Amino acid sequence: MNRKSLSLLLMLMLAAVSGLAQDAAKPIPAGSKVFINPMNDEYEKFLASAFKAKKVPVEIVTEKDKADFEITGTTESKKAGAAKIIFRGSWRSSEQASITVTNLKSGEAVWAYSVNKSDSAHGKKSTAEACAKHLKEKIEKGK
Amino acid sequence: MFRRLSYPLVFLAIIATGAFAQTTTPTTPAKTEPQSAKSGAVVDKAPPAELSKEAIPSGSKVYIAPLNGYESFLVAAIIKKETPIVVVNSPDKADYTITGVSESVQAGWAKMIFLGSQQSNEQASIVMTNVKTGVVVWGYNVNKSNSYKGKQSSSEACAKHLKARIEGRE
Repeated sequence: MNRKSLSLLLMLMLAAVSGLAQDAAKPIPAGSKVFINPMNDEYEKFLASAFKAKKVPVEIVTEKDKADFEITGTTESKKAGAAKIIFRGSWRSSEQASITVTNLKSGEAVWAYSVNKSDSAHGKKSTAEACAKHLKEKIEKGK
Repeated sequence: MFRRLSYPLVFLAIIATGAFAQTTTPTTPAKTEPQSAKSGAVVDKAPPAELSKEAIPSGSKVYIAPLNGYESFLVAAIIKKETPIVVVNSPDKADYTITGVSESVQAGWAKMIFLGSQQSNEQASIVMTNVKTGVVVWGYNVNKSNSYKGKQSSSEACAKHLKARIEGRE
């Protein structure tokens, strides 16, 4: 093996190691095991479906002991009243939700997101998908 | 004849009494205010200087007690506004705890028709306490009569002011 190929191999190894280190330094590494705590109005089910729909790179587990992270949160819905339907011409519900991702080892909240939709096209599904989309962004870009 | 006159007279008397009552009501507390001040009530006491002076170190661990779901909005706001604290999930791991209360009132039909607004009325109040000393180091109230994003707006106001307090701008 000549010097050129050896140095190229070393460079590749260094790049791979630094890539791995960066992945570990991310607050939520891809492929992490996540437990979604029960929420009001069974919002955890909407969240799990949204994670699948938006292809969030996490593994949802059903037992907290097996998880690296847990998700807690809350949601609130208000159906359109008569006034909203008549005067604003909208029968869509008003939705708000908030979720927090906590590292179970350190107990620290690593990410959280709130969403408010005054005219939610698909009710809870829309807010859950907004949460999922932003979590995916956080995992992939670390921002 | 007497009956015909008596009805309008009684009606006028009722209106006059009502008007008199409305005008006299606000004067009653005005009379009592100086009395309470003279009697040396708690009103004039200055707040203890230590409460406002205690610095909240950047990177402190904070536990947010359950607030009927509002705690989740607070965590999201703290992260969004980059408030320099670490939120933990147990009071045992925390240097400070945040407690509080929040209230939402959805826009009714009258607000939608006359004000053309469907935004909710939000109010919240949070208090931050040092776990070791038990001293309240910071507190904030927020009231938004037309909250653009509901609880999210009020929680972000809290987070913004907490950040200002930690950075020594407030």
